[in-house]
Amino acid sequence: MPRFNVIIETLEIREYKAYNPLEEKNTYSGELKLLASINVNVQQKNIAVMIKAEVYVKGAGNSRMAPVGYIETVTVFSAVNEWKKVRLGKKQSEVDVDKELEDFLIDVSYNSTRGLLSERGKNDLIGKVVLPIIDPADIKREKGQKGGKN
Amino acid sequence: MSKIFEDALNALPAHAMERAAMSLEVADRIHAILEKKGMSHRDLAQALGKSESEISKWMRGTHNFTFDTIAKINMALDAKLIYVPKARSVKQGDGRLAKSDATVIPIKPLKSATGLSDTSQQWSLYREVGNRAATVPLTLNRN
Repeated sequence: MPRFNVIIETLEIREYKAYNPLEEKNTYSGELKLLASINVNVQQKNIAVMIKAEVYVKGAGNSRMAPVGYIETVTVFSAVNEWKKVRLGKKQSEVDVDKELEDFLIDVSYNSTRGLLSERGKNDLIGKVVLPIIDPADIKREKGQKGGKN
Repeated sequence: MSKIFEDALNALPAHAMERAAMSLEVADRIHAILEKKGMSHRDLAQALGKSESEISKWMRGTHNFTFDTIAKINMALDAKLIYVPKARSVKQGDGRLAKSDATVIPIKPLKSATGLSDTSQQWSLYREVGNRAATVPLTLNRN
């Protein structure tokens, strides 16, 4: 993956929820749901990436998945040095971030989320889940959010 | 209904009425189980070491059953007279991210991170073992 000259301006947990099951098990299986969204601030030449991650586990004796927690993080990047990778249209809504740059920003944001979750969730079940390393291109983008201008 | 009977009924505390109703329900339940299993009052009396007349008294629905008696009847009938729903179930929401919109990655149990193959060595989720990062029980299983 190519590298880009961007700077993290802010990194924060926007929302965190944990639902710890009363029944303790030695091992759990389940699934992780992931979603990313991109917002561009044209005036400040910033790109904000929001990562939403939710973990579900299977309960005892049934196959129904129950959520055990949710985390939503926002990472704001200064993209001044890579602004040529952001294409602006005539309309407010017409803004397109280069695919490789977008994937790079999502990769950084997602990996930051992995660390934030580990620290924030240290007393919860969801905090024990190390989010897997994945290709950022595989993370779906929230509809209607990609490339939105602020 | 006579005035005296009505007054006597009204004088009963609410919980006594409730108890009487529960006693009747228990008696009904015993009756239903006996019928289903083809057993008589005598069979139940023998199983419990009681007299048949005592069982008949119970079945009138006025007996104040104790848990001790109910447990013995459960054993004798090999059935549960009273079912108490488990209250400690956690009501959880349906989550926030729709499956169709989000990337979904299955996760499955992991044997300990040291690579031990013995499943008895799997680490407890809540146990803190040295480096906390190493206690993770979940791993990625992408298909």
